[in-house]
Amino acid sequence: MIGRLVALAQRGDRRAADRLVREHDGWVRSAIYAVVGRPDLVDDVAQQVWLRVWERLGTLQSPERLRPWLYTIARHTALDVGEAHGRRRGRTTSLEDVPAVDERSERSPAQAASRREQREVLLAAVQALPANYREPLVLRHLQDWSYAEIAQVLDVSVETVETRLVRARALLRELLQGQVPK
Amino acid sequence: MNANADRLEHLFTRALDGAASHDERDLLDTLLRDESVRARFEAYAALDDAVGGALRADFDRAAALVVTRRLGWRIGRALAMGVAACIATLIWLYPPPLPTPDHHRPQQAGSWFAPMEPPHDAVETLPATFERPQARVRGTERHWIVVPGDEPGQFMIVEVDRVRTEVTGLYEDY
Repeated sequence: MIGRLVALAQRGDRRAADRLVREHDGWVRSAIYAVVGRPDLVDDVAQQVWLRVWERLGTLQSPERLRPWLYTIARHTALDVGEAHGRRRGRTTSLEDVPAVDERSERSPAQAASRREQREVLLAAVQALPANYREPLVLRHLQDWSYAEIAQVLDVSVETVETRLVRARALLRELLQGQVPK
Repeated sequence: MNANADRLEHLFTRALDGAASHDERDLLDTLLRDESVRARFEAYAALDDAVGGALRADFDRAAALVVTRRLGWRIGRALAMGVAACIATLIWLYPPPLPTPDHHRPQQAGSWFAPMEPPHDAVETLPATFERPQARVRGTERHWIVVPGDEPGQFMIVEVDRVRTEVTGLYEDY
């Protein structure tokens, strides 16, 4: 199925190309976000990714490897743009300054501000993770993918994905010790 | 991290990600009877829930930004089209005066649909003593320009004397 779609797109079938974009744009955007960590850059990077995809689609030899191929392009494009714009780490605040807040008990503007601040700290901690831990974690949360699906895109084994997710969560716990809702 | 703690973390992760097998879920249920393990799992789950929520909220901003940007683009485009339409209407109602080459030419007035005045011919009438030219090119300067006519043997001859331009009629058998 995917092979036929890719073959048609490679031959210039616009409907097949359109379908490829529709089916894969969502997770490609998640992958871009996992790399750059900035929602304001996702749309621009996604457009660049699809431009590169159409330029290089003819070089894709194995259509069943479309996902890892797409992920590689998305990751490299996102890295290029991310380097150009600077990483999000600048917005990191002191982890010690942020109190633990239960989002469900939020009632006042002060609580809302505190919640936003806490979210910023969580995101900063995610961005502080090494890329090989951060990317599967973000894909897991945004796409709700299984380990097998993440493994296919990242081109690693299922066991590697599981290990990276365990390490990612352990690192986050260390970074955010005492600052998350109990 | 010792081996038991590592196995427990893997079990927690697999349970949270929905990857745990039936046996693993049974094992986790058994382990959760221990208060310390339960507290640890709940903290683990709370952190994961908070991180997932923060990521989803932040990522959703990307879609919201795209919608806002596209909406802004559409509004801007509509405004630009409106301004262009207004300018076109004003030009149509009040057309600018056409540039004239000299002061003798009357100014075009009225709307765009008013009939054009016939252009004034700047060519002088032929003098009564006009003689048919005998040569196409006199010396090195081209004084006579010969343009082929519609029929064979017909030509239009233009005399150029650097001061004024005269046009003659068509001559046969030139």
